[in-house]
Amino acid sequence: MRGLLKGALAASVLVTLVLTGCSSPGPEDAGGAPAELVVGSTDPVPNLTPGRQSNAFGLTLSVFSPLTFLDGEGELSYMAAESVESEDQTNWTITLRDGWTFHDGTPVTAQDYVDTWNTVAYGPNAFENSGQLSVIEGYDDLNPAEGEPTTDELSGLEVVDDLTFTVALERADSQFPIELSQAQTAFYPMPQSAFDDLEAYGKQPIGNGPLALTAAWTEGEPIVAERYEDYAGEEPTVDKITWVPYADRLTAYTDALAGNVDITWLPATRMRQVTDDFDEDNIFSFAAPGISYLGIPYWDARFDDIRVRQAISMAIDREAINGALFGDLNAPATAWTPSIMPGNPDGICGEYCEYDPEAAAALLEEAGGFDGQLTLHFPGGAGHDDLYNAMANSLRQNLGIDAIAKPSVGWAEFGQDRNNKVLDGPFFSRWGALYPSQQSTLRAMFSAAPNCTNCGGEPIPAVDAALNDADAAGSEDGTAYAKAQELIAEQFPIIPLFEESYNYVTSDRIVGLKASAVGEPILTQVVLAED
Amino acid sequence: MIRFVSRRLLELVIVFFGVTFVIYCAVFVLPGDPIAALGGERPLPESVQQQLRTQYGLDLPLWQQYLNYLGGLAHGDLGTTFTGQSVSEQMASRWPTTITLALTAWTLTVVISIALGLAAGLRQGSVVDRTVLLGTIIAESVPIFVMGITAQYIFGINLGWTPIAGVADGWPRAYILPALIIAIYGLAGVSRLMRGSVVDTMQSDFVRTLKAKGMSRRNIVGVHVMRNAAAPVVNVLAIQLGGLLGGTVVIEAIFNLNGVGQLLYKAIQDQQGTLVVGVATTLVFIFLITNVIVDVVTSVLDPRIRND
Amino acid sequence: MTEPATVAIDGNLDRATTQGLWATLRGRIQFWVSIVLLAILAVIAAIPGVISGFFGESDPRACDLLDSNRPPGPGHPFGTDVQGCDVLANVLFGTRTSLFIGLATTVMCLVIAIALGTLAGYLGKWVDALIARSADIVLGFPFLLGAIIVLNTAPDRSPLLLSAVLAFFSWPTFARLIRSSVKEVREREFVQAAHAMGFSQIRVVLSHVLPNSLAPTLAIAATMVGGVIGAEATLTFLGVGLVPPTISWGVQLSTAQSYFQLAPNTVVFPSIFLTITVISLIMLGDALRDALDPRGRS
Repeated sequence: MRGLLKGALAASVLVTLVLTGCSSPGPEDAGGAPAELVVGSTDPVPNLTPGRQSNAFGLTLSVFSPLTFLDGEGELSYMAAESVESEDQTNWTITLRDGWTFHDGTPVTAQDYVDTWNTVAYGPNAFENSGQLSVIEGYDDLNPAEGEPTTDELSGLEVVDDLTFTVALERADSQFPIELSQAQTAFYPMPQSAFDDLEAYGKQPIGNGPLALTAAWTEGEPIVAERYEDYAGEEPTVDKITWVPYADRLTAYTDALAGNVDITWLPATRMRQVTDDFDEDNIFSFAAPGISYLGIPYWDARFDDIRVRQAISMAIDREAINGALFGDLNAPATAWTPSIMPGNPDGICGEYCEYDPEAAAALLEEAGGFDGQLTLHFPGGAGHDDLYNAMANSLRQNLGIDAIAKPSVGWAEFGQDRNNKVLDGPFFSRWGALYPSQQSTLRAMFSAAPNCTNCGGEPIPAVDAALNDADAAGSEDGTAYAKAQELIAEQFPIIPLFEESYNYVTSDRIVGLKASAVGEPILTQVVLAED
Repeated sequence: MIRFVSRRLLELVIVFFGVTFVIYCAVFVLPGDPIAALGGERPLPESVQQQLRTQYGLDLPLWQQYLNYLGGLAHGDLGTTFTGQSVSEQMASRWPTTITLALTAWTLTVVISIALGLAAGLRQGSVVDRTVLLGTIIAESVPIFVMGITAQYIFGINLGWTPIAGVADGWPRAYILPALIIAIYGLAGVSRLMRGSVVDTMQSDFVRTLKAKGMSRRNIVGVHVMRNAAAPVVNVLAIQLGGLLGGTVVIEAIFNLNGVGQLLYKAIQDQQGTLVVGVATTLVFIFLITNVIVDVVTSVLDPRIRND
Repeated sequence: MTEPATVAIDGNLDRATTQGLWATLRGRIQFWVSIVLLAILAVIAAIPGVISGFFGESDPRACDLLDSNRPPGPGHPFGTDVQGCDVLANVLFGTRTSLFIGLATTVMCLVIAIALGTLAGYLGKWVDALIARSADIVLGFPFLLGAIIVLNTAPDRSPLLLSAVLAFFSWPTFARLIRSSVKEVREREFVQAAHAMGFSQIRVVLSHVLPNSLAPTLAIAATMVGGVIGAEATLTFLGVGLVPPTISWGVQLSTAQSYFQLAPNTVVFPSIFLTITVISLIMLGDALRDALDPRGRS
């Protein structure tokens, strides 16, 4: 009797457990269950303050919302801002949308923006992204070459009312609304509470975006953000995102293979086999506003002759390299800016970017040959080895010169040698624009005050004037900048290599992924599989 | 005995200061400007760089920087990285992982190598002996990163027995495969060492005497052989432990274990001077302490070494 | 790094035993297998181009990107690597570099370790303390850091420089063992007898202490060569070792490991050669050690 009772009890407990197990909600349950996403990423450096972060774009774009937004087709729309207008391309009025709040409940005001921009631009704060604000009048006063700044406010900023403020720029710049878009995170607003303790804010930033951080970030630990109920913008399609940090992109990729993360970056060394590892539906490739070059050490007389530079460019088989190393994901460059830029003068490089080993050898001979060893320099430990070895092999076999590829130990050594004009051969160079305008790349590489020191080859004075003209002309279609590229093509200062792509692999749960015009996927608008 | 230990401790202090100074100088000999490199491809504005240089005292002469650092050390402050993160915090968050990994690997090494060494040594010339010898040779010959990646692929991806990477699964699941790889690599030599030691001891006079006296094999092996065979093995095992704590970079990278080895490697690449010095100094300190302990233990086991 | 086999010391090494060494060795199949393998490797290291040309491509640097990562086939018995270079040619040319590094490192390391270890073990006191502490510092110095610094500040990463760096970080392990072995031998009766008989220190060291510590050390040396070759591969994998255009198994493996799922041949063949080399060296070491240790002789 007792045995039967025990058995019955056990059986009923078992049945109950099974029933409750069956009905507990999970991500597969279509009935209002939380939509969660796990993202394989890297540890943010140095922290999460938008004015400082350099590699946490996905997170920043989820926790904050920009003033303007550039979508995948290059169309500009207004997000946190209602309008950004100007008569003369120099003085701009920014009007914010009403009803937007920070995650701590305080309303987003023009004062917040002005205070944030002043804090970011203020030299002694040493905010890494402060350079993005350099176009605003007064920036130089906050960043004197010597000594302390005399003021901590940008003279070009002025609050008009709660939702309006004006910005005076150093010079006319028609691209300013585009510069306020999502990837230039220095422009994101911080609430007043941030200014009391910037350190703590960097660990748990309070933003104005669709998701809010649930806890402070600890280095090496996953970061979680959940839906912010009072978000005034477009509803996100996910309720919760977890960013898992990986020391190595390959390990993240391997974890994605096992289904432990929903989305992660595709590392360069897996580009060849990704189609073997993942379904086509789970591979997303976006053209990026990035382009790679072979910089030329213009301080080395052996490269003075334009024919030498052109010959080197013609001796590199970009198509073969793209096929063998990049799985056909990085299109060969045909101009000095990538084709995703509006009005990009595709093909302006002409025959010199086409592979023609015989013509290359002939051209080099015409120029008098090449003395000594040709060393291709690149920063080591970043996965560029195969590309540079391939190029060295090509040059050696096609031009008959002693070409080798030489990595540095890390970025620091490479950067210093490049900045100090110590490198004795063509070197690694690239620029990933933060907004899709030729202006961004051309100014960064070829202007009189380039962001990338010594990257643009022999400086061309006429280019600066052409860029200023283009800025003032205010063309959204970018044709004005193509004029500057004509000058560059004539001089051929550096060798364009590949247009870049941002590639992601996903789990089966992700059905649709959109990227914005800067190549970063919009995580808060990801389309998840139903049921 | 007290004299022996205290003398070793004094030497430890001297060595410690010597090493930290060498490491400090060595880091600043590395080419490249770490502040200029902070932004990577998108360099920081010059004003920001200047600000950071002053903040971290990088425009001071080397000896002054070193003294400042020592001053900080005296207060237990290991300094901050060039991105403002505290070095001690960075290390503290990684030590548990590395220690778990190292201890797991070391325990596996000790247990397996002693077992294998005993089994092989006691049955010298047999199939077991030959298998152990051949197996350890093969295990040693394959580079550790090849073994690591292959194992990760087979057991993590194909078979799914262990997590592919990360410490999320906790101990032991997340640590067992990486620890095993490290252990295999380490125990190869130690097994042979143990085996040789056992062989020698078994054939030595005093063991023959014990056998003649009629002591059971179990007793001989369990007490006397173990104790004598252990001495050179302990030496090597201890060195291994000290080295393990810093030498797991490759495995930590492959299995995405956020440990001290990875931290040091990244810091060297990024030229984060204070981080490199902090981590390296700590590793050196641990190693030296371990050595003192080992020497004391060995001298207890073999008094002949004590007297000098 | 490889841990050496036991350093067993026997005090009774005399001429009769030495003459019996060859007799012992030549009877062991282990010895012959390893000698034959090493001889083959030496031949490969001497004329890699000829041998490689016999099977297909003789130039390891004739690379065609369009042939990237091909499996073994006609013209490329081991397939091609990601750059389109012939794997067989590279493996054969790599033999030379890897063997060179192994030998150079071991020779340099042993010279230092024997000298310092003997001094420390024999003279004791402050000399011992100084050398032992130096060994501690070098051992405690993070290998990676030291390797990067030296290899970085040098103008080029030549195999010789790499050997020197590896030797510099390896000598303490051996010096320690030699030191404790020498200490043990020093206490033995025959050495004390020699002292009592009035032999000078140097003579005692050279004719009695050293030979007894040396013989097993040579056996370890053979093993060490193998370990060094593996260490070079690891350093190269971490980006601080050799770089192209130097050809070595380490370079091949570090490039191939990214593609090993796609083209396993690029990992398998260098690994096989590496493993065989190390195995034959260790077998040789074992054979020598067994032969030199009379108690091990059956």
